[in-house]
Amino acid sequence: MEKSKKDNKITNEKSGIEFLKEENLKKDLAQEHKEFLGLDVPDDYFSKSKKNILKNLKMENEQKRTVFGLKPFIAYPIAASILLLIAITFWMQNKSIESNLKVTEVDTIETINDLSSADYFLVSSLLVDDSKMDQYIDYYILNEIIVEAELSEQQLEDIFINSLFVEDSLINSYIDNNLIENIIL
Amino acid sequence: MNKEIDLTRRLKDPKQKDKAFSDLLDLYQERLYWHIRKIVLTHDNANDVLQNTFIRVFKGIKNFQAKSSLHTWMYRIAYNESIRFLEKNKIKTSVPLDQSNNSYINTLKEDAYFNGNELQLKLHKIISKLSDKQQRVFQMKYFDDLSFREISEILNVSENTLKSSYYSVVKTIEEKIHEEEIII
Repeated sequence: MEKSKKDNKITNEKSGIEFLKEENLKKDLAQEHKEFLGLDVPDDYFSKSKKNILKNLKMENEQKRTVFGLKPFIAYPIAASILLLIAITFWMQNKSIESNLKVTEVDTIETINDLSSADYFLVSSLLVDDSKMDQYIDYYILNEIIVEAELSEQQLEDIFINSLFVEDSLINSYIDNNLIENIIL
Repeated sequence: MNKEIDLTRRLKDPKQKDKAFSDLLDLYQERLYWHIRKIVLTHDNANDVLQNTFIRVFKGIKNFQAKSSLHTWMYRIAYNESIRFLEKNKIKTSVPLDQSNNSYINTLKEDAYFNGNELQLKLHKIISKLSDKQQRVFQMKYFDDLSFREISEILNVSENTLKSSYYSVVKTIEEKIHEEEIII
């Protein structure tokens, strides 16, 4: 560090005190600050301060080591927690597979229940004796025709009633579309 | 300079770092303390800031690239830590000339380790009227004995600006120290 070549002098002639810096004298910082600025330090402050700083730095380093190095009484509970977490994850996954199977079974039953009339006829015909099969078929066809006819009649009535609410210009296309739908279906 | 280069090398060596840091404290602790003390005013505040400064130095030494000298780098850390402390605690050490600054003088008087007489208090009153930058350049040049180049690196102000500012401050202090009473 270069020292200033000039003497810096601030003089108070009235009080006769000089603020004088002499570069040849070894600087005693504490003395200088006390003399010029009235600033003081406790006795033996700097040696105590040094010990404090070194102690604080050591503590910071040790904290880092314990966090990443993991002492046994910390590491074992953490490892056990991780294993438990993995076990719970597997158990939860198995549980969801089982419930999926149950759902699948239920779905199957519901699917069976939702069979169309034709499929229902096929399934139920398995339970009918061969000698009575013809009678069963006649009965089924008759039943189906009557039911379908009734449904269709109802739908036609609905179409004509709804057409009352449709604008005149659109009525032809409305009727055509709905009749076509009805016929096709 | 060679000593500083050697110290820097040892500080960066993990095997020698602890011993080197102890040597660093022996060399710079007191200088940095007084540099900080003049900014934050009280001993307790200076102690806190000094601790933080050296922790930062210890942690940051591995990234120190020697673009400036080691002691300029440390002075800059100490200065920044002091300013951060003042801002955090909202301590005002300077006000415009037309306003009073009881805060500076009151803080000083409340410090158990301020034993200034009338003249020393007068000097503090004059300093408290200077701008922050003027105070720092005067303290660093007059008391810390830093060169204008070093102060320029610490404060990030051009050398020419610092020189004119410093000589203007010295002249102001010389004039004002003769006044009967300094109104704050």
